[in-house]
Amino acid sequence: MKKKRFLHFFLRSAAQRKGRNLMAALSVMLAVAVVTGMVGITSGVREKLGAELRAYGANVLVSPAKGGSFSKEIISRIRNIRGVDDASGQYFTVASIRGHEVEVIGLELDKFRKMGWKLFGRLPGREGEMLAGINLKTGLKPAEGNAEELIHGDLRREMILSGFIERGGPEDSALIMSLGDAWAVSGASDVIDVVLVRVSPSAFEEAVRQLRVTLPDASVKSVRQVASAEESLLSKIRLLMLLVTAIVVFASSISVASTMAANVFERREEIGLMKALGAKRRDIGAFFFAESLLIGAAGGFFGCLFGVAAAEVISMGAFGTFIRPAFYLPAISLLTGLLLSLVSGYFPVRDAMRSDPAVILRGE
Amino acid sequence: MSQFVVSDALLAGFRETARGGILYLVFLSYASLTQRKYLLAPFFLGISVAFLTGLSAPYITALLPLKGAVGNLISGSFALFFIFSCAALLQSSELPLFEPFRLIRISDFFYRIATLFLAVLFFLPEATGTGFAAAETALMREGAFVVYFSLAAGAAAGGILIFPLGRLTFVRKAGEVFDVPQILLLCAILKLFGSGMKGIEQITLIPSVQAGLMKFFHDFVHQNFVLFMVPDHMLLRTTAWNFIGIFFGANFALFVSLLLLLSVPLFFLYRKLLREPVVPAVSDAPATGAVIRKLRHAVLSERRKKAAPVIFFVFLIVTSWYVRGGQTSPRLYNPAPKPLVADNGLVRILISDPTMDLKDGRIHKFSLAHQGKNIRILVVRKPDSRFSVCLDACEICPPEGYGQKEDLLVCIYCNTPIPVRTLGRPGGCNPIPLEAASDNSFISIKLDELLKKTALVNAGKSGEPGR
Amino acid sequence: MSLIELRNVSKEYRNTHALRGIDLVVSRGEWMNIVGPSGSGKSTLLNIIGGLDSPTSGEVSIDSVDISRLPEDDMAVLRREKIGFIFQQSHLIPYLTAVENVMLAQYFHSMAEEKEAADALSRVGLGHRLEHRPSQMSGGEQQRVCIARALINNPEILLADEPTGNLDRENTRLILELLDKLHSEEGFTIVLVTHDPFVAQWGRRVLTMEDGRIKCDESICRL
Repeated sequence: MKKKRFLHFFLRSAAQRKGRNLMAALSVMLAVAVVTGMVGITSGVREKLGAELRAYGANVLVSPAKGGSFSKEIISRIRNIRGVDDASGQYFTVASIRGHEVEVIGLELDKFRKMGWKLFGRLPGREGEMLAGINLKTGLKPAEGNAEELIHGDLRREMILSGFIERGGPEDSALIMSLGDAWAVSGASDVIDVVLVRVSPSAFEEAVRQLRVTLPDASVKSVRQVASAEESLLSKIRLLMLLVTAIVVFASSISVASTMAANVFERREEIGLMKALGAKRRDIGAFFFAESLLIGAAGGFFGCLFGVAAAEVISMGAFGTFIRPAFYLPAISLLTGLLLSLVSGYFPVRDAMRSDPAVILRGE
Repeated sequence: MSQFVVSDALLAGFRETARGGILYLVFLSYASLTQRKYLLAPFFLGISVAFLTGLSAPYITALLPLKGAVGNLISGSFALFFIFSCAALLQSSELPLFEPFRLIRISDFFYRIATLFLAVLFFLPEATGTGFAAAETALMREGAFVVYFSLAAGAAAGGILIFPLGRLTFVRKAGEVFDVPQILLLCAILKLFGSGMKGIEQITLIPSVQAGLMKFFHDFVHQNFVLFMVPDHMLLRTTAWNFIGIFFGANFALFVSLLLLLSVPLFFLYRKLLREPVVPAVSDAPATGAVIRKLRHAVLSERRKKAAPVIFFVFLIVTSWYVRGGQTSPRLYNPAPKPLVADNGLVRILISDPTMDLKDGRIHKFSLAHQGKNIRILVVRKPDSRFSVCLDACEICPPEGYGQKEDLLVCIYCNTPIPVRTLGRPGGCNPIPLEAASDNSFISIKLDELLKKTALVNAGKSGEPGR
Repeated sequence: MSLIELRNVSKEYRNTHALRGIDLVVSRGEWMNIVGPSGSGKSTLLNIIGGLDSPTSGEVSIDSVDISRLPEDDMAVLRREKIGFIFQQSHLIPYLTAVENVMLAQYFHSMAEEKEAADALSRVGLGHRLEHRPSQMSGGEQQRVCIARALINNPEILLADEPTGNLDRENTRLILELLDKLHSEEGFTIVLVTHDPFVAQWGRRVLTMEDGRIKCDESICRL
């Protein structure tokens, strides 16, 4: 059968029922948007899980078990454990800069790895210099090279801003400086809140075990564990989202089914005629099948756009970052749309194929 | 491949059987529809030979060299199937050139041998790969039995899934769409995608053709045009290099290799789809309009059916080209250059300071401002503990600089990889080496040396190129 | 040689017998009219001949093929190649033009060919109406499109169910003259159902039905 001709007839007939088909497509679009949004958020966020650690090149996190903190010598102790490639400590505090409270992260700058970080400006070269996260650039508008005053309680300290960093994580809203400077800002000394450890993959289990033995007061977690903790929170939300999605999909499917049924009913004279002209059941089915495909594809396409937009809005609001939509997301949306309309339209289409031409043509 | 676990064995058995099963179903349908069922025997014989050889290869000393060659065998067989299918496509494009060949009657015996040969060619490489992988795992775990049993179980699962599909009407009629060229194309497609995404990246002809093309253009231009380049004519060089540089671009080579691959299938499609069919003369039935129309439709639809696999093949290649094209730019480590100043005709770089350690094996870039221009220097410590100090540019490409990927330095413009351990040699795409002195704390480079070597750089784009 | 054969065909619906024990033979090239009061089963007979309906008992053969037990899809193929239909309400697709309506019949047969369809419409005198929708045509013109559509695939049998039922006297005569002309030119078999005695005069054979049975079957000599 000449496909072009089929398209011609089919499109012409679909246009007869523009209004109704459009409504059906809209409901598919809604359902697809919800599905896309949900998949987009969960997959996009999962990418970020554990990304924190990986950005530092670490794969094990050592933190004090019952609150409290370590002292600096723990880092060298950890480094001496066999299998540990490197370790670096971080210290967290807060300070007020230009009237705003920001987080301050102190780390060993000579271990600072720029993997995945974007640096604008230059690294602090000496004491008294710091970096600021890119989000602070618009908020606080500090200019590079200027001295800023950091206030922590009664303490005031002047630091020179040497540059900005961007990573797409919480550091983007923090100040980064050397451990010594961070301690000076907060008046603490020799305090380490967390140690990021890089363990060589071939000796992973053994090294982690050794870490746990050597540091009984510390909690030693691998990247996977940290990620799974964040993930369990997400899974709770996901259940709720799944429920909402299911309801929306179901409602949409009812709408599509009734649309297709109405279409079939409206066209029964045509169907009878086509059968009289010698159309096989398959041919009749093809016309309606194509119509539901069109509805599904249109709904799927626009639903994808809306879904991605919705996912970005939600993730910006909830997690503070834009997520990068997975490349397979448009395919999922389209597939959902097509499946939805095909399955919903199955029974009406089947009825169309089975209709009796004699009955139709005799009446009216 | 060395982490082959029981589940992998199951998957491998299933995958091989599924792939072979698809080919078998199509071939069966073709053979039934064209009354060539006698070809099934050589087909199965070929499969058996291939699998027996492949699975027992690890245990036969004479066949051990095959182990390293598996990858090449697979891509080689893909290439062969593709070439054969192109030949078959050309032959059925009804070119006047092939007219004499059509008159040669091909004997049944030839068909049998050809089927046997092609079946072996199709199944042998993967069978060998599976055989070696299975043998390796069998050695590692206690019990070769477990490994081979899983393999067989996976194969059985694949068989149970695939063979009943042979009863479906549309599968039985698949032979209408497949003729010899299309079957060969199917073999090529199954090979291409049977190894998953990685397979597509590794064995498409596109990267190899593309790399070959790029190297060809590179060498050709380098040999022929450099001689014409007059050193003092800055202007001529710039514009000429801008033009020639296009040929080095990865995108251009990718595009050309795509065209090369698709030329034959596209030509076939053009011949088949875009020309008026010749309707056979009606002999006995009355030549009413409806009868003629019906014949015309039959001829047209026959042509369209046979074109379908070719269209599918073109679509697959274009898609994988598109997907790969987006991945030809891997994340290269490319740090921002740090500023340097020249002091008394000497440029000094600290080997380690609080924020940077030149000895960490990563590339470090520096930039020196001199008379309005920026000179970029690249320093990296080689695996033999010596420093390589060079310009962040080569003699050929526009100086976009280099990025680092594991132990390779990659030219950002032309994607040529250069192992770090080979740095220091001049010429070609190597970064221009600089003479430098180093002691415990500093690397020192004479300013004259810098300026002298900078003259070798082809500043196709003046000023600072972007990252 | 017989084209259409019915042997002891009966059709029952729930409680009514639409047809009782019909025996009928129609030869190639005949023009047969079926007349009778409403409810006598003439339309049912026509539908059964055309395969749109299947008999409760008995056999129907078209060109020696028994269609009473034929699967629906095979019947569709037979119908598209051998049978053309014309109905009282023309059943043209309202959103397609005249030429497209004819092409629809071509499409199901093998493939659509616009030139052939346009020629067919010209032959029935509608060369100027090719791109018009049914709503833009008179009843007579619509029926002429139906005739073109029914004959486009060169069927051996043309089945017409009250084709002029909705037309005035003038148009009725035009349609019948057209059918007569085409019938003598192309030699297909016509089976025409009507309640109009004027219409029944056309053709060579009249079958009178009553109560689901054939009351009389006579060949008339044209004057």
